[in-house]
Amino acid sequence: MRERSLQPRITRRSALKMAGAAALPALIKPAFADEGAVLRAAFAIQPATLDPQKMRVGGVDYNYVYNCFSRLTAQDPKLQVQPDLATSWDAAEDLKTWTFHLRPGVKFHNGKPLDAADVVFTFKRIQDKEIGSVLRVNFSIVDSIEAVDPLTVRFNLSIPYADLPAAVAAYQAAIVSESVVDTLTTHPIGTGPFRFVEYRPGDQLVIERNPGYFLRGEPTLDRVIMRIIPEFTTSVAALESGAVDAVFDLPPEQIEQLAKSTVAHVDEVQAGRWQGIIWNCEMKPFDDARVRRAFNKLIDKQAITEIAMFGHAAPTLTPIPPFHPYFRKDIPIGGSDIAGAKKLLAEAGIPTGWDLEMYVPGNNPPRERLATAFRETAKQVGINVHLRVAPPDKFFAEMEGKVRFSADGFYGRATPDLMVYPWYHSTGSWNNTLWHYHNPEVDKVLDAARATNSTAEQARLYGRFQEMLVDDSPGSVIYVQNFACGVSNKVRNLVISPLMLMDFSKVTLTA
Amino acid sequence: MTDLATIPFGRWRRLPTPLVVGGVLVITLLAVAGLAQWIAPYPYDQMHVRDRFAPPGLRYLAGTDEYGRDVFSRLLFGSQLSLALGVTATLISMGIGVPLGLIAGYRRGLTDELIMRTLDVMMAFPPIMLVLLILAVTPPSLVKTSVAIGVLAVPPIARVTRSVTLDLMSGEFIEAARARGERLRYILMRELLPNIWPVLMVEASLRVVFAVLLGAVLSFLGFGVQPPAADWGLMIANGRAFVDTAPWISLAPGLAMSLTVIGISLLGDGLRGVLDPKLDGR
Amino acid sequence: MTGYVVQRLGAVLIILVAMSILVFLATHALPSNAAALILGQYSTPGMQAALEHKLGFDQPLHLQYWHWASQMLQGDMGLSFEMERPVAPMLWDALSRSAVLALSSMAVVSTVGLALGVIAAVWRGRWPDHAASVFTYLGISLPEFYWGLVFILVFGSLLHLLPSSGFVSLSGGVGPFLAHLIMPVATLTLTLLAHVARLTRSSMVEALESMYVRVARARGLPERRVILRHALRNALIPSITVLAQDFGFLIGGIVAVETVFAYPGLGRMLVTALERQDLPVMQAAILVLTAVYCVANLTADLLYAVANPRIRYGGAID
Repeated sequence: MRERSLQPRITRRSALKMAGAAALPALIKPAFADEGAVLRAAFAIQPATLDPQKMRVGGVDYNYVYNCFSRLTAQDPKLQVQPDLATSWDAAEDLKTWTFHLRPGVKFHNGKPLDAADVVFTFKRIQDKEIGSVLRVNFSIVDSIEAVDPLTVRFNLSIPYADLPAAVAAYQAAIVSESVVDTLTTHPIGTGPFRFVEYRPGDQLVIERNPGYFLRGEPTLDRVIMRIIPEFTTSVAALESGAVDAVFDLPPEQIEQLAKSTVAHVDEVQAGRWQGIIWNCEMKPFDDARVRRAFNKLIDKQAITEIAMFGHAAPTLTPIPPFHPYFRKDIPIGGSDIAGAKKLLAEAGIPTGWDLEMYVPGNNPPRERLATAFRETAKQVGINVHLRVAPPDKFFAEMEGKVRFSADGFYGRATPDLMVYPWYHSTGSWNNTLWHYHNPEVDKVLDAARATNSTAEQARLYGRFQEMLVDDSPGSVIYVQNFACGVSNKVRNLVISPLMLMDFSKVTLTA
Repeated sequence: MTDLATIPFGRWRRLPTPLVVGGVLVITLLAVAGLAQWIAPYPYDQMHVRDRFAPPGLRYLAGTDEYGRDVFSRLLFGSQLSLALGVTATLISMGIGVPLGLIAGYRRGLTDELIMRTLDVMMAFPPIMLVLLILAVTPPSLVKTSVAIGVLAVPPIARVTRSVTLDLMSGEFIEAARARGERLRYILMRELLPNIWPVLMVEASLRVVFAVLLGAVLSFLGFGVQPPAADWGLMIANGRAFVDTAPWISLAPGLAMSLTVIGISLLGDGLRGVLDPKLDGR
Repeated sequence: MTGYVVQRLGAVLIILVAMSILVFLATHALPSNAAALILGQYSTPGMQAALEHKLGFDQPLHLQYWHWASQMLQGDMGLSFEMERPVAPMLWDALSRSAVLALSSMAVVSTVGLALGVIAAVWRGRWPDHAASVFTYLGISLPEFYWGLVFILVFGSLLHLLPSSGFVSLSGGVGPFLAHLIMPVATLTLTLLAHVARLTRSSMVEALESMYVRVARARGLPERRVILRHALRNALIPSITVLAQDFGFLIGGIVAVETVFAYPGLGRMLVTALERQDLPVMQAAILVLTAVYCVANLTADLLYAVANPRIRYGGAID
């Protein structure tokens, strides 16, 4: 699996070709003659909300929104920005004014035509504090949004920003209509290839083909049933017995097992989702750079990756993943320098036998293994780590950002700016939640990088950024995890993207 | 009901099989728990990353888990946790339940009504709800789990104690003690308790089993002890992901738990058989 | 009899009120800041205060309780914090699915449990007795979730005989409906069987040795009739009580079993709500489960009173 996974295996174009080739047998023999072509996909965690702007947790939430709604732009599995509701866009010379041209003739599932006012409404909703969208900070640089005409939207930014077309492809930037916003949590209406049928909490979310979808010939499925199966043992068994056709986001412990199956296989791509160890740089003793450096020397990223992910991940320096062109391959990942760590800790006056509580959001075996592996390493320098595994929601509400030391993890973002700015810039929202790291030099580099259109200059700046972070060690980003799904052999053209999405729109089923 | 010491010697010689099997299992368990530090081949949290998922063999008797930790050593240490949970919870419920039952049965009347109705309210709460609620609301710990499970088992213990006390109260020796002018404390502790404890032993065995099993369920649901503790429930919960490729990780603790539960249950049943000849052969 | 029923009903009402206060206080003792949970990590203290006001969290506790309890009585369970949809319809759906699971399990447990108990008693000391004893010991020696996993492995992954998870409503066909029930019901049955079987066995042994059975035998009644009509009828009474107790264990077991089999019932709804600290769902689910439990206990008590052994024992020798 690992060799094959170096690149996303199915590109948009090859997917289209394959869809054409597979269409014929599918027409001759539909999988279920009576109810049409139905794909059943298993997800481990039930959706928290159906409201696109309010979503915070990946899984069913993001995937249902991705398939039922459209955004201004889309990102293909290679993270290149593609048209979606906007067919083209252009920026003024200073990168502060962006204009998006909408696709004509798009209709919501209830028949209401889409126009620029819906786009303006959506982004105003994202910016609304009351809504509490996680995307709000990303769009705090937007001063105003206006509908120039029914098919043209203009964004006026407070600073030059090169990545806006990628930023509007975000999960929560799904375009909604003001007229049906009240029923978003009970009967959501979008413009995507599928439309919402029903959601039974704890059981399943059903979506069906949108016959009025703006791309002709899509989707090919009649229905997708997104089942909630919390146990992967159960969902993999269901996949092997044919009760479901796909399993979303297999944990590494299930990958090897499914690889041996004769009826299903694993689709695995490298993704930007990372996990790591968070220490609060404003709390003692992590306000001392020597302690932070000692931890950095101590943490053996290679070994922890192997223990936590069984190799289905890549050790990294920062949230910029190793497969990204800007990744600094020349900087050693380091770690397991016990003597060096001991020396630094002694200099900082940390006694041996120091007790450190490490908070871990649960329901995530890799993250628990990461913490357990770290606990073992820390013993070697005389630090007693006590793990405190908490239910994830409790962790996010009460502990994240409030405790001194924790394990945590985040979904990948589409551009380097979105990957690191919120986490490492002094004003960054995540930075001020997690490690409270303030470095004017880093701020300067990050500000410069987002304002330039030149790839070479961006590469240089983000390279410098990685160097500075390794030296100053605000927290430790240990690895980026692969995204793997179990897929039945009868499913064709299920496109999985490093953004942890399953695109159902081109899927066909063979008997 | 009889005191152990008063059982004719002949009946001890014809020990029922359940008692023997249960006794052997429980003694083994106690020995293992007590000696885990010395007989375990490895520390419970030592990782041998190169030997991950090693099948059972000479080096690792019950194989290794996903961290390369010795499952056998973890099983041995796990017996301490299971016993600690079972015994602490049972001691707590006996500590509260027995005095309540004694007083209710001895005093009768309003005191009895008050105690028993309060216990009825407690019993009206579905057992697992209370524990789940407590553990979901506050950070989990072994102590908290033990206390919660222990408190849950107060009503049945108190009920049993009360009914046996009521039976005994009609006995002559209580009358005699009263006539001698003994104090309440003396009657309860010296006269009633020794006669009740055989029955309580049987009830206690049930409670230990209940606590061990409930503890495992809580671990499974994620409200139990913290990793990397060698808790059997936690080991099963973590090992279930590898059940196809490395079944020993979850099967071994399952086997250990089932031997423990069967051992304690058999011991309880056997004891009942010996203590209460009326129940022989039932 | 009427007086007894009224008294018992009164007791249940008092218990429910006590329980609702307990649930209310326990969930309000949550250290979580509910407003922060709802609003997410970007909320400001000001926003949280405004929401707390809107939810009435700034009112005195007794007023909050009164408000909550009166809404509950009207069937309004509030909005789920997280999903922002009404709790009541979700909860009734989940309850009906749990009821299907619980009632089928109880049906299987009582028939199989009684049968095993009778068989063991009739052939006591011989191999059917020992076999039944080993079987029931095995069942209770491991928690439900373990048997659930074993069943999934064997019947789902290895043999591909049964669907390993989920629920299909009757409208989806009788076959699939039953197929999805088999493994969860079998799991719950296995862990509950021991209690009923062992109790039935011991009361059957007692009944078989009793005077009236001897009399019945002496009158030359066929053994089958003696066992079923005379002995079992009297042995049934303690079994009914124990079955009601088992219903309580069942409610506990259902939480784990529904999680293992991804069965969308009330138990899973509760676990999810606990994990996500979704207060309204948590409160409603616990209260409803408690009410069900109370009603089950009440039913058992009434059944017991109706079938009072003394009355029956007198009439058994016809």
